[in-house]
Amino acid sequence: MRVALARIFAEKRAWFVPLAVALLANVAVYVLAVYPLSIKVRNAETRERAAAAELAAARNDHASAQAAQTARDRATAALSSFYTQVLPRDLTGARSVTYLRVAQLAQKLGLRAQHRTYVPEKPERESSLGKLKTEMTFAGDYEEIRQFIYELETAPEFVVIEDMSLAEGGEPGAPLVLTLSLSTYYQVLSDGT
Amino acid sequence: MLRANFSTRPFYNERVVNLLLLLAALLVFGLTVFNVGRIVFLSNQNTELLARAGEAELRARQLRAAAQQVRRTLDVKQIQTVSASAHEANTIIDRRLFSWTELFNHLETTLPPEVRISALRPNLDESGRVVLAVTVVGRRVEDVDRFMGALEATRAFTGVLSREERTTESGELLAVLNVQYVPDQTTATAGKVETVQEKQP
Repeated sequence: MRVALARIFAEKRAWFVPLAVALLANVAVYVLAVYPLSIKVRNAETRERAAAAELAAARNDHASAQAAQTARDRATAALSSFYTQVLPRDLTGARSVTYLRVAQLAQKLGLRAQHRTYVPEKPERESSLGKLKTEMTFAGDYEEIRQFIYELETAPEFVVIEDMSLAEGGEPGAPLVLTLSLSTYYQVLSDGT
Repeated sequence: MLRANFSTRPFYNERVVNLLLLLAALLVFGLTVFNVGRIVFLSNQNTELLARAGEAELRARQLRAAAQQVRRTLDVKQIQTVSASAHEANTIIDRRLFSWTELFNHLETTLPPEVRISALRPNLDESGRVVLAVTVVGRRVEDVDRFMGALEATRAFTGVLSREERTTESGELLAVLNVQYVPDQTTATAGKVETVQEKQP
């Protein structure tokens, strides 16, 4: 048997040798090239996944920074518009809103002013808004008072009704007494004006 | 029939050997094709993955740098100031948006004819809730109770409680009610200033 195999090998050497060389070459190629390459690909996949995660995080980071910038710009613009277009410009503007306009409105509706006090308040810490607080007492009937409050609420001037009390007069048939606490705000600049 | 082998070298079944050799050749050829195919495929995949990873890393670096540049323009103190100012403005706007007229409408629609309001004092507490002190005068305790029930039925008022009661000189019942008022919130966000707050990545 051994002789036969040796003979077969000897007679077919021209086939056996190239086949053996090719087989060894294939094994060598697999061990030296294919396998290391597959490990490189696995590492590249890991790196690509990490890079994709990093990119997603960086996108979020960038979007967050941009959103903060946009929000700051929009808030700054909105605040500027609120301070300059909605609120009275200064104490003089605040006074004219609560002193003249409210008095004219009450007069128009037939309410009788009984008492008024004005207290300007300085901005609180970290705030740039001064406040002019007004306490007013009016006498009138219910419908006049309702209309007065409605017109005050819907007026373009920025006046906040902070508190209110409505009470019957002391005597029977006496008009109702409305005590209002109004506030309006104005921007106080850093130089105090 | 004579059966004898007269050859000096006995022959073997060459066909089988050739077939085995052919099979081996095919196997080696298959392995070669597999190896070459894997090398080409893995090389391409590796190149592609590395290119994608490199591109993503570069883009991530650019985005981080851009984010840093944006952040450099964002002064933390300035943001805190703007945020506090926006909060303050929104608080004031909330107070301005509160509708006293709507409150009166609610009270008018719930007030029974036998009860009248003699005093009304709404107060905004720290959390912005409106607590009303309503002084009412009615003939009987049932009338005041009906008013309290009607207030709660509107769902605009909760926690209605008679805090104090006494009989007036005219024999009527005077009650001071404490009521929590929950105004309609649909207009609550109109005209507000957007607050500034950066989400953490």
